[in-house]
Amino acid sequence: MATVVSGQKARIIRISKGFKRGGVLVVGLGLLMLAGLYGLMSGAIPIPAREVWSSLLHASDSEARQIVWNLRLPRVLTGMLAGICLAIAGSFLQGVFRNPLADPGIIGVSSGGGLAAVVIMILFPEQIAYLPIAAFLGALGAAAVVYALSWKGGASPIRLILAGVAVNSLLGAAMTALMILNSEKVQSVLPWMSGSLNGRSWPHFDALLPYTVVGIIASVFLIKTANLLVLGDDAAKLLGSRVEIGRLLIILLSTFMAGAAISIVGMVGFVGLVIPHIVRLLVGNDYRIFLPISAIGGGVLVIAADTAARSWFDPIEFPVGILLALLGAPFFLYLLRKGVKR
Amino acid sequence: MNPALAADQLKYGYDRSAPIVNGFNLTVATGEWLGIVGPNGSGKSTVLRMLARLAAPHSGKIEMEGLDMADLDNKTIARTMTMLTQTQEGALDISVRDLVRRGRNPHLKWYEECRGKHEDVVDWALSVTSMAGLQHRSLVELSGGERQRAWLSMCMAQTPRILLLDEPTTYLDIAHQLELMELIRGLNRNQGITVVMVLHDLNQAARFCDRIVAMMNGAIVRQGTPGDVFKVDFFREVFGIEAKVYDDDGVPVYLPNGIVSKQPHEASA
Repeated sequence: MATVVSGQKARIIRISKGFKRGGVLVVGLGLLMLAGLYGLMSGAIPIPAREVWSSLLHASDSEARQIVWNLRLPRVLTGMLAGICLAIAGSFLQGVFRNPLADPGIIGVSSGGGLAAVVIMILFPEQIAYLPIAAFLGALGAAAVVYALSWKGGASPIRLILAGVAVNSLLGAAMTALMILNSEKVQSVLPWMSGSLNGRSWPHFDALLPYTVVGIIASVFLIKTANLLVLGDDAAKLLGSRVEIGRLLIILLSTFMAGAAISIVGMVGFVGLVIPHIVRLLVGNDYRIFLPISAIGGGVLVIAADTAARSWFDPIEFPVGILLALLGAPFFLYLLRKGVKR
Repeated sequence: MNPALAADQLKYGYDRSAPIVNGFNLTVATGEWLGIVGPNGSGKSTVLRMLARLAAPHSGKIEMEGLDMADLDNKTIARTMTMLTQTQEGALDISVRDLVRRGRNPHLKWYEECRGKHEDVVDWALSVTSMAGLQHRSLVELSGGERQRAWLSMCMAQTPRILLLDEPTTYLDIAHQLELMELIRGLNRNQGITVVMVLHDLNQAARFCDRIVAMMNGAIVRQGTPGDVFKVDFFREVFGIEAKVYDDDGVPVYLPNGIVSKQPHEASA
């Protein structure tokens, strides 16, 4: 049978693996920069890269500076943060649920946040300033209900998913009912429902930034837990992990991050589902590399999709969520046909 | 010396009137290889899960090396005892080595990474399970037998003194079955690891185990050396089969002849 690989050889293999991981990280960050640049250059008024650069560095009254600094940069950055939050949440949830279809929607975040937002927009439009906080609380509340409903001496992944499906359809029905009863106001709700970065500016970025930063820091501490939970509940427990607490913390963090993203950009779908799948195909299941690459991938995808959504169809501005679904769904089907590793 | 494991009056079951395990007592001596056998539904896997604390007994107590397991946290238990489950997450795209590294978790503080001397233990675990040559392969690329060995390698990285195994050979062909059993014999003999194994294949149980415990309806009905247990009436009463028992250099070998008439017992493989 096989013998022990000599220490030297093992070390070389480990280093080359480190290089590969480092390489993926560098490529990811490069793509993020490119997507950002694309986002700053493109739009109704195209701005060349050089001008983008100078208007980023120097304050001036030029039109380019106005567009880049006040319109496009905050929008790009807000999209990036939302993408990061959604992708981290999706990566964690697919792991702890050990289910390739899990995404931030499955634990009720989207429908809970969505219902709260629709209630504000339709029934209390004068309170629109409170929409993000209401959506955030709605997301948290729905996730809490899903978790509580699935608890039976422990919250098994399959019960969580089933409870999630039930709660989602209930909240979705309530949302639809509200919209049908108030069909004259639906127009204002639709962009939010499909997720949009339209009009997002510095205040939105400022609102989302602390949640993203706290979420990223917390997620670092949950990498080890996630790496044990993907082995299965039994295996994780046999390795000394406190499975229920670990899973609860990961669900809490995912809810927190996805809820924050949704409260700012609306119900952006597919990022939290597709990005973890693609990244897993590229780098495998180890959360130490899987999670950061997913986060970057989420940022890249939302920036690129939003830029495309607002510049390809000029003068119409598409909600980014619609473009994501239009492009994401066929791509997802392609992955499915090709055979997806979990 | 305290026994490796001591189970006292274990009871387990959702339905109080028909418990899955009832009045189960067992002492496992340090260094022995114990095989638990019994027909389907006899409660043998449930007992193993309770011993591993994957299932909580509704009453009764389990001591591990003299300590009440109810007082121990998961990590403490995981440093002393682990279990190879019957099936594992199969579709994980991580390298064998990364899997085996996770076996060090019970020995690491929450902020510690598997480094230095822990990596040496990982090397050792890979080598005693003959997985060193496959350590950089992804789990998804492995055959069923190799994957089973990879998970056993992870168990060994925990440096357990007690190893539980739940029908580890079920999905392996006969050559891989024997390979795994001989591997475990090496761990038992050379590393002094106490082994408790639930087994379907009675002839293998007889060949490899020091002691056999036979269960029926949630309780132990026979126990002793394979030679003591494997008698014609044992197969008739416990498994409901007519069998002939031969002697192969001191190891009993049974050959099933047929089902005892009108007993709807499920025959075991």
